Amino acid sequence: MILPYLLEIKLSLRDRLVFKKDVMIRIITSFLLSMTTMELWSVIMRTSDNSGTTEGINTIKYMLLASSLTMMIDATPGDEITGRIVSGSISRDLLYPVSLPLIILGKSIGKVIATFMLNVVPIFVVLSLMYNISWTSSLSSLLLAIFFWLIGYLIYFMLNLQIDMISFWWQETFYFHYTKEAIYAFLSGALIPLWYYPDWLKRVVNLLPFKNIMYVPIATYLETVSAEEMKWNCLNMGIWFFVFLFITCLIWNIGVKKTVSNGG
Amino acid sequence: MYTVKCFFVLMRADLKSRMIYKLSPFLYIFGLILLYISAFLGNYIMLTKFKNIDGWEYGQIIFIYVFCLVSYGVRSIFFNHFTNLGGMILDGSLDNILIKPMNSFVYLVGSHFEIGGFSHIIAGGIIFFKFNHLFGVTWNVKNIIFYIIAIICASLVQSSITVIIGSCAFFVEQNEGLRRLYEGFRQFIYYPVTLYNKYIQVVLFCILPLAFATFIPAAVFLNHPVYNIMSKTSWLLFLVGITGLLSVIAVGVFNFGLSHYKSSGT
Repeated sequence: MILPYLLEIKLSLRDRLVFKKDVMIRIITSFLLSMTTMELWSVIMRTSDNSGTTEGINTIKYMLLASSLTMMIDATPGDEITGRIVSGSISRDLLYPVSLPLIILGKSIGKVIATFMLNVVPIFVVLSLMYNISWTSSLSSLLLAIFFWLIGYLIYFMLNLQIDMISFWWQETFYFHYTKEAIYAFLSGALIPLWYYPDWLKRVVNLLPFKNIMYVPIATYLETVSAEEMKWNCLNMGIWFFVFLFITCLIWNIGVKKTVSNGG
Repeated sequence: MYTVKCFFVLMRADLKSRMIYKLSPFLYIFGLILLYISAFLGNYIMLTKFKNIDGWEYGQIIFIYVFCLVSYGVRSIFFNHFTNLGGMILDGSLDNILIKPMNSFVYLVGSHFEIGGFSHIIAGGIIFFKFNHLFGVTWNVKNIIFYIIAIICASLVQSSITVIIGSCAFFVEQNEGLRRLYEGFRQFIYYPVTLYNKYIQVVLFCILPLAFATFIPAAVFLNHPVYNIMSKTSWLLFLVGITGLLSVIAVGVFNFGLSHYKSSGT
């Protein structure tokens, strides 16, 4: 039953590895993007006399982890359904005895794994050595952070899919993705650690789902959250996961009935 | 005169074709503006928190940030098509341009506008007017004229680099890697380049001279010790000179590449 989805993960992984020159260029570009962030924050911490403090060290670690998670998040395809509707192939996909959203999830996981192996690991190691970052954290924090990130990633995936499913009604969706990226980047803690946000904004962010994708896993790993915050984070994550699951299923069920297939 | 007339006719035709779906261009531009404003807000929170980064006031950093946005916007509107030159050579669509009875360079610029570029300019404009009081610049007639010249120069610098990278496709066919490298290094110039280590500075001044699109134009206006080696007018003349040189090189490389172009026959 699960085999077609695992196969999709394998195919997606293989697909990313085919063009070796492209892989190299992607690594260099991603490295430059991460390095910009690291250079900037290193200077900020150094000039604000924070470089040796816990806050300074945690900020540098946070930004490297955020850059790494951003690379994996960015690997998620955003136009799978739109592309299928425009090309007309959705009519064939809907006939298969497998769930299309789960196939897309399989493909996304494949791309995320490929990005992790090809981009994240080498860049993470090189930048850790360049900026003298030592990663000392308990195993329980690491495992909990990985679990939180998996749930956070699924929330992001469902959000992405919801935007993609707008194509059932409106065939161009890329600009809705820009809007989504703008909101997500600012409210998730992908740009700067949320502990630098003003208090009123932190209160707003705490109620929204976006921090579960970036801030919660990283802060859990860095052990910068109190037990009280941790409980709230778990509750917030659980509620939003099921809310997103419900909305995704609802849009999918309404959308497929409205499908207008072009071309073919 | 004929070329200029053709340029405007092409520009109008291209814009008209994009307005078929009336709402799409606006949603596209709106989405991009939101994206850039969001990225800026993240930086703004960081800048307000730390106020001063390595001697740079946060108003000065925002000033440089705006230069990067606006110059990239102008470059995107007119020269984004050059990033696709490799694809045009491979699929043979460049041949169609070569048989047009007008200058190929002008045709490439005029026949395809990237309307997304407007979003950079609008986002830059919003940030400029909102934080204008922090720049420490008096906006008298002289400075306004200098600013217009500096923006034109910064845009031409980014455009020239785009044209040179695009023209590499005449020699290597696949220039996608170079384009991505340009996009990667472009992230550095949102901030003063002196914040980075010497190796990055060498790249940004000598190899991929993006520092001339933000850091040097800002020298014409900002009062920072690093700019004290020359007067503001001298910085402007230096910028104009470098821009002229880069523009000549860009057109030269394009023409040289075009003269050696062999159709792929597809």
